[in-house]
Amino acid sequence: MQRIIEHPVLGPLPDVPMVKIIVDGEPMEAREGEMIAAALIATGKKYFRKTIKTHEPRGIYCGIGRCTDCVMTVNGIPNVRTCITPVEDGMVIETQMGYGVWKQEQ
Amino acid sequence: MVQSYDVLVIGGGIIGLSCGYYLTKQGKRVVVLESGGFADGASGACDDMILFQSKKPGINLELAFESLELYKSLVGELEDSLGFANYGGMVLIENERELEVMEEFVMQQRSYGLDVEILTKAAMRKKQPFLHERFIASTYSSMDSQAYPFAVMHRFARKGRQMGMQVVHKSPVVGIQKDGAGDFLVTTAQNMQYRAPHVVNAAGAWAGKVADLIGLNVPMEPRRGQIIITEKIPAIGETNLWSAKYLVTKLKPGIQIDSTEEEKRLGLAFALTRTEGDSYLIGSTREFVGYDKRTTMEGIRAIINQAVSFIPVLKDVNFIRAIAGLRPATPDGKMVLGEHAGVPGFFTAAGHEGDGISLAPITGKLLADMVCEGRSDARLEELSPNRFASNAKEVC
Repeated sequence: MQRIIEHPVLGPLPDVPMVKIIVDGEPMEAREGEMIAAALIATGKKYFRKTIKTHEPRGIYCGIGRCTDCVMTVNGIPNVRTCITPVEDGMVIETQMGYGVWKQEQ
Repeated sequence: MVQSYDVLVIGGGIIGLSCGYYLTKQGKRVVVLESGGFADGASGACDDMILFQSKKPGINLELAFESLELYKSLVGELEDSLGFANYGGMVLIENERELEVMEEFVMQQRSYGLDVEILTKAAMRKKQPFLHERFIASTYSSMDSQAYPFAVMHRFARKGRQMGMQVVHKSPVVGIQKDGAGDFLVTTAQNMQYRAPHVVNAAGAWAGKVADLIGLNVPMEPRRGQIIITEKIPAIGETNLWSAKYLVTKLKPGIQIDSTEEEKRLGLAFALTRTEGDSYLIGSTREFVGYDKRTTMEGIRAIINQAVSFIPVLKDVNFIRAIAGLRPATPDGKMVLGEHAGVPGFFTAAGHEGDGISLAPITGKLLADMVCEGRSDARLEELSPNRFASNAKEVC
């Protein structure tokens, strides 16, 4: 578990309800309202996607929604910026290969 | 100082560069005079289609076949892939009225040798699983292709330069005269002068203004087309897509198939193509707004709303840029290609409207044949600028 429990400026981590997310098929817990990227880093996940040509791993880079390095497939939608998208209970999060694939609706 | 050439080409878009390239290839000394910079006009703000299904059965469709063959040989000749791809295309049909119109189109196009068919709803959805449910059928042609206009223009210019062609940017033409020896003397805004026995007017939406400089009438109206570009996304379906409305507004403006006021005002119709860079180009509008080539919030919003109504998964996709270009539109929807009877040596190659990318190679090649060999193909008669000549002024 990688979380800052006692922050020098913000103080102790407040208590919030936990939600369930599913990451690459595995159920995991996340703090309600936190960004997907924060939840994944807390679980120790090392990379969020692999690049389309050289299949290199990528994770969080700018952390403010600009660089699109941290995109994943979320609830079947590819290219979701995980650093600015809050977790929701039951959210299905998948490591993305290249540009990902669209979930078939039928 | 006056520089002398064999041919002066006015306009450095995809048509002017194609003309310049094929003329240079035939041994002519050519200068291409461009008023702006590289890809500044409609050729730099369009989509990338070599679309057959949108061509009127007749000369436009025939020339499109020949242009496709030229594109295939240009890939080797210009030493570049040119973003040439062949994904095929489908025209989406929303109701029985559209189906009727499209069935007639398809019959006509098949009689001209186009490989095109009507797909059932099930066959359509197999190729395009993300379409909205409301579409009842579609056409499909495996021939619809595409090329990347920037690559085509850049490689025409590069190969042309290797053979001696010159391309001069930021050189708007402000005067065209004929001197005593029968040569044309073209003056640019920088007061540079160029002399040659032949002039090719390939100025796109500005072709009428250029022709006017020597007293000729080429009726040409700028028609603004807005397009949005998406981020890189996974492929949506197997082919590029158009709405039946796109074809009907293009080919049979008289026929009304249920359109909203906004669609009519903007000339809105759906076109979606996947680019070499995995973005999508989504269009487009067809607006008569003079020479204003700005994008508008109204246009962008209408294109996005339409796109999401066609393909609902697009609601989660970002668009990264919007572009607008002025398509050169003629009153009869046919391009202008040929020598002006009133002013021998003066040619116009313009007015392709939405077909510029498709028809650029064949336009350049036919134009070069006309200039170099005085060859005038009888079937090109209907494209001649002389069809508008009744209003031409006398030139002395």
